[in-house]
Amino acid sequence: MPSASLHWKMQRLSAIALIPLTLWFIMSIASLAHADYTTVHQWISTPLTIGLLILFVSLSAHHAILGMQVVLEDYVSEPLFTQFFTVIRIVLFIATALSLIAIVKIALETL
Amino acid sequence: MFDSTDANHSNGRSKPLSPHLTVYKPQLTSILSILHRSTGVALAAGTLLISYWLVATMAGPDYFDSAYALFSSWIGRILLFCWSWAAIYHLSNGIRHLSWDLGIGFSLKATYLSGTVVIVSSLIFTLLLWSIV
Repeated sequence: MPSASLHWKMQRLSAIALIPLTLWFIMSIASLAHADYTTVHQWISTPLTIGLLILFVSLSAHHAILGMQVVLEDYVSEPLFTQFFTVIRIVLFIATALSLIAIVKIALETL
Repeated sequence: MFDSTDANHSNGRSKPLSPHLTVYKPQLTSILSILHRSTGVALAAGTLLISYWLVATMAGPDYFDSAYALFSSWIGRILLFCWSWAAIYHLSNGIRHLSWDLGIGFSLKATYLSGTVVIVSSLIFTLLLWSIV
């Protein structure tokens, strides 16, 4: 599949998956607004939360990179486009990796 | 770099750039489109906050408490309020975009109606969310 078609398709597929995931995340955060460390730690350690959090964190980063590419392509010309987009991808990759490490480590602590 | 609509000829990459936002007459549809993009960019930055919160929780109770103090400060609350609206708006308007991808709701009347629904419902849902927090 050509890269532009794949980009278009992946942006829509990640968007569809992110509808229930984002609603779940917002409602969870709202219900944890005043929760203490132990409660949040326990919440992250449940199998359902681990699965949904990993999906939410990875898919939102993927969707963010696809979206940032579209926005940058429209307003930034080369060579700045490649420079900006590379920095954004690196930052989002590191942030996502840290989130995933945090989720897995919290989950392992309670095993 | 914002001066030309085809600024890329010098390096063989000739994708056109979008025209100036400032010379485009604002309409509900264009404002919602710009908001969809700016909330998207803001949410991309917001993933860093989620990352910080998860890492702080991993790091232990002291780090968790300082993250909690930051998020419950007045500036943290404003940030979270804006984040929640941006997420809800982008999600609602995203459904609008997905329906266009299916060829639904393309008429001018339908576009304005769905746009109004998105703005009003995103504000109502955000306020409802904060009334239960």
